[in-house]
Amino acid sequence: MNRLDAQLDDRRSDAPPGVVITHEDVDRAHDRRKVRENRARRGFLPRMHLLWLLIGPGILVMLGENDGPSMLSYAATGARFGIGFFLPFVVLTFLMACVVQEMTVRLGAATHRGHAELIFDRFGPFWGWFSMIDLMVGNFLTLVTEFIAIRAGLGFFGIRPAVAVLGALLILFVALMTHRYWTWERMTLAAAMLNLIFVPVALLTHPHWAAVGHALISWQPLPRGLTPELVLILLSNIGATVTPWMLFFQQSAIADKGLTRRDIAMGRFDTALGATLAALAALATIIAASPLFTHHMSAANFEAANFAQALQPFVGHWGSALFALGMFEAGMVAAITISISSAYAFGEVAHRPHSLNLPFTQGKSFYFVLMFEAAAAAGLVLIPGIPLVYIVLVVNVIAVLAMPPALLFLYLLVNDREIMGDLVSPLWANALALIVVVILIGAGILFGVSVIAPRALNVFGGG
Amino acid sequence: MFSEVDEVESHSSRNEISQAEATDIIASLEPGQLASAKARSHCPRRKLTGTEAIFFWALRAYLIFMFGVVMYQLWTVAR
Repeated sequence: MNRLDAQLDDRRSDAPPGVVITHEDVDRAHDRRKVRENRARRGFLPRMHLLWLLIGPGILVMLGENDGPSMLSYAATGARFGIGFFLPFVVLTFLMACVVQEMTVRLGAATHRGHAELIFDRFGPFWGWFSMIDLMVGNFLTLVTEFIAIRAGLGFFGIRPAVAVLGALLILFVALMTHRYWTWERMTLAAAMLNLIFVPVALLTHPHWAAVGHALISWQPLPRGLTPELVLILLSNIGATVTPWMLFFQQSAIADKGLTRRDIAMGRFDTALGATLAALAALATIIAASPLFTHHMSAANFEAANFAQALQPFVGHWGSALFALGMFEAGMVAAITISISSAYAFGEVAHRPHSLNLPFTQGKSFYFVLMFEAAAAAGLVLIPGIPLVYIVLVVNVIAVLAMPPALLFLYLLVNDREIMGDLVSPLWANALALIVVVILIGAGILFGVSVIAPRALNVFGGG
Repeated sequence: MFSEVDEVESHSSRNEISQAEATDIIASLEPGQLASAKARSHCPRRKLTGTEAIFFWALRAYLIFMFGVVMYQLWTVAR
């Protein structure tokens, strides 16, 4: 037992008279009772029911990160480089995401607190606000791109931008109206599963499975030379799987869901399952867009709807419609999860109530931050003439650049015996985390070189 | 600005949770999971070591510099 638990145990000893029971506690206790009852039963079905009760944050965070700009990055990758190096590379990035997100599972289950709250309390307000502002800025830019994806995806079906964006905002608000974490999670999970809509689109292109298998095993064919464009695509693909908001969201969602130390194994499984599903959708998107590469069609300035239209000769009208619907879903689910990660972080740092189990009257600041950020991003997308395409270009790159500072906080917290007790990271987990940090910083430096001194890339056969 | 904490406390008394229900809720949750416990007890602060502080500031400088690089790239693309 760690020191934090010991302190709280003192309070529990004089409970119930000394304890205030909130709405949030009542709902969370209801969910935990079901988990306890299922855990006590033996057999396959109770085990599956337990799994059903405990999965959620991991799948949501991974499929949530398969967002508008991410799917656009995968489509651009397939169109520009075809089936080859990037298939195993994307699998590698999801393995990196698993390494990072597993740490948040342990942190959330061990402390029952969100990521922002731990940074604020453990390292002080200065670093707490710094990391909060990093998150808020990154999340706002990403949210703008989600609404661009929503607008572009629904635009394929002839829906006007204002109707598409305001409709998406309405869906986001309706999802919150349940005031119940469990209901919200199940609804969002159902929507997130639509991310796999890219799989049938890929199948409609009749992919060359031998080439896919060969690429996954051999990482071949390699792109020709290290060019600034290749560096941008590399960073976009890394930023499509490993981003700061994921750390904040999953840890806060685990605390809100009420997972404990006994649920860590299931939390890990949930994360791995989410990564598998998300990787499947990502690979499918690369494969779906690869006919554009095979037929030498330029996709340099494509937006989501352009991709859907360009693919029509290869996947038919239904295939294009599914692709556009997938873009809408990617933007919609990410808009929900990203705005919630901001609201969690604000509540944790400002010490305001922060839970999806709260009725509106008890979580005004939580719901206000969530709705305000989403509405501001949606509003920006509707202003005519703003060159938002530049945000789409760099939002994943910014995520990669912001990740090393965020990972340092995570690394220190997950190795902090005072709060983690016996759940501190083992040596192998620290080694893997260090490799991820080195890859991220290396990618960032490579990006810097490609922008400031592109000729220096000649050393690697590009430039 | 907001007064949620006060409202939360009064809310539970308004709904009159019985002693048995309260005991059941507390038994279903771990001590640190109760919202009131989380609000009252915070994780103790720790001081950064010299090496950690250097890493924090180095990564902060890295982030600011790289953000400048991104701005420069956007400027060149827009031009």
